[in-house]
Amino acid sequence: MAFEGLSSRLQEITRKIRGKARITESDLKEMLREVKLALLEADVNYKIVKDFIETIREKALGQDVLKSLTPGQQVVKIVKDELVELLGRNRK
Amino acid sequence: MLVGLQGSGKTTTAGKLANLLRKQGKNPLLVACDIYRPAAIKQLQVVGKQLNIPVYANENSKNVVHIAKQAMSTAISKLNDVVILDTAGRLHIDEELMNELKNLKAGIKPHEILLVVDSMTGQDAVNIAEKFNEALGIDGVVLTKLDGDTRGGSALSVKKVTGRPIKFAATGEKLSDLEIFHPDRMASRILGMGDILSVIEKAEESFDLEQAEKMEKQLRKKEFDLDDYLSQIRQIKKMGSFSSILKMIPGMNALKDVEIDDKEFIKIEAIICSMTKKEKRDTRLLNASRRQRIAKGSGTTVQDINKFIKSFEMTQKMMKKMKSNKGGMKKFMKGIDENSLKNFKF
Repeated sequence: MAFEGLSSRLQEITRKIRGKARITESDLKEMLREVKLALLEADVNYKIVKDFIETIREKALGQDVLKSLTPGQQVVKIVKDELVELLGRNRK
Repeated sequence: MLVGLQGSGKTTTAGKLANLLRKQGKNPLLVACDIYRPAAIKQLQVVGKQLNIPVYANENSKNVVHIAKQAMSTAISKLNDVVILDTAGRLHIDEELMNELKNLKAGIKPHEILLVVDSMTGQDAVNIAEKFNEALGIDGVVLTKLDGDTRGGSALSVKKVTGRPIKFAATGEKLSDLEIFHPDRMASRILGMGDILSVIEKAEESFDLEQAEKMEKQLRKKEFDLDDYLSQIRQIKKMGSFSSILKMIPGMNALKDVEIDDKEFIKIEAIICSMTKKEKRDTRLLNASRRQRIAKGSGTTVQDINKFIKSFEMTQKMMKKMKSNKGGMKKFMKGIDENSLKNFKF
């Protein structure tokens, strides 16, 4: 299946961050760096990767964590939402 | 109208698309507009034959616009409601051929222009998409060869560059291997989380942590009775069908053969609701005549009730065990392995 490489990289990254109870800015920075590398490795256009990372950073910083989620889960959720955005919004 | 590079899979996609449309009750006509590549027309004809879908081709004409116009009138006379134009592959830098496409667009005004992109394309996918979009104004993208061992970067880039959605994804060689593209599902697939996020989202909507905590405390304090059971079922039901939730949990998709009938829940609800308060608190009260009454009241049979009571008593036992060990729910969940899940019946 396509996306295998990208998929396993991103899974690795999200697994790491998901367990964290607190996410500091440097945690986030490190994670985003890894996401960036993963995307670049998957041949995603450089400019797009840059935008992608930037939006995630903006969204992730200063967002309230929902009560029922850990911060890690929240970050993963943001990444996922952005990924959906990148692939095209849901349409009917 | 399908456009794209050489070898990206336009002809095959045309066939697949026709197949998909026919499934939706449409009556498609395939049109071979590839007058350059030898055997291209033949290829479409073969595909059409396999699917039993009519193919319009004019091997003598060298004018694509002409062919397309003829095809349109044929479609009208034959009552085809969708016409799929399979154009020749071309490079986005080939002015002449790009102009041909422009003429074609002006000539027949297609409702939709789909760019067929091979998902194995690398960085250049962006340029291709951009150029095609500039020249023609594409309406959507079809990703082909997604089953291949690709890194898929093109897939992620194209949408952003063109601003057009990916509409379909071709995932195999068979003519039925064309899926409507769901960005959200693809995203979760990439993140390898099943759809755990939808589960989270759903849980977010339907119950909050505090309520769950309250429940856990309650569970620890007293005997787990049918009232609790009912409220649990109702909470789960708020999240949607149980089977769909199970499927979304990563790792659970592997247990495809565990069949959980959502109707069972409705039955159980009915059964519990047909009991008196006393009975709910203590299932040992349920003798034969009481069971018969409940069966009548809930529209089930005594066997159903027997089955349910038995499994409920087992759950009760499990709950007792859970209470006794300090690990609580987490430990308990870990203790459930695949096999016990398979035997898990309501």
